[in-house]
Amino acid sequence: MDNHAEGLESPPLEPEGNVETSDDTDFAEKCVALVKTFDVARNWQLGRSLIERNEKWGLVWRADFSILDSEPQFRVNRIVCWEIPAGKIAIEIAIGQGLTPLPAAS
Amino acid sequence: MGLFDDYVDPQQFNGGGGLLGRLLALPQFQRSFSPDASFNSTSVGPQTPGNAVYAGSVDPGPGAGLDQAPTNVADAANDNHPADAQCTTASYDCLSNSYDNDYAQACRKAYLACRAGGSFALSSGIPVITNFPDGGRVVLHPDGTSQYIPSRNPPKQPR
Repeated sequence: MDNHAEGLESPPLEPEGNVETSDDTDFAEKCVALVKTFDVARNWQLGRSLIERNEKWGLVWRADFSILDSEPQFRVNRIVCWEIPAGKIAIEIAIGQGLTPLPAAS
Repeated sequence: MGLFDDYVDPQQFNGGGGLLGRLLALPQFQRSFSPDASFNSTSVGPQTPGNAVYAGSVDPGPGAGLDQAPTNVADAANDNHPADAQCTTASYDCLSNSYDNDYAQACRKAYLACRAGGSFALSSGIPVITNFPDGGRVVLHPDGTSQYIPSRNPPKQPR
């Protein structure tokens, strides 16, 4: 799915299959720490996460989350965190999507 | 008084603009309004007019005056309008595309996340994209600029 947003390109919401197995904990922790500073994130419960690396995006962290004060949803909420130029990070919050839940860690 | 008490022939909108575009085309809605943050997810659209300025003060862009319905709401409320206005537009479109309560609830949650994302982008220097259930996306930049990209293919109700 083309996820190009005007003014800011973003990785696909679905993983692309280039799972990173090492040197990823710092980036994941940075993303988690950022998400926790969102006002609304105090009602979010992070679930399965996955980190990937590819040529275009570099490191990409994806995590599914549930919203604690909601009825059980049949849709997927996902956070995507990736590197952008100048060593910065960007975040996409996708709510109520028809996505396949992230797989459990192997 | 219900939002749609006076029926309006939708044909006049030529199929464009989404829910918000149709509302903006009506003279009685060309005034300030915003969705109440606690709007009922079982109904589509805002419950009561709020205090936030939106339709009455946002520049709809070149060639589109307030007395003329924009042919595409995305053109009228797209680039660099206040973040809250972008989130509002996206949520209205999302609700107009919703087909069940689960979907509508998700639109509301996305609206709240979008607004939080705007504040977060300004304070953290990190750009934030909020992706609504219907595929609409709001991009919020740390410099206060923003874009709303409506969904080109909102999910349809499964048969």
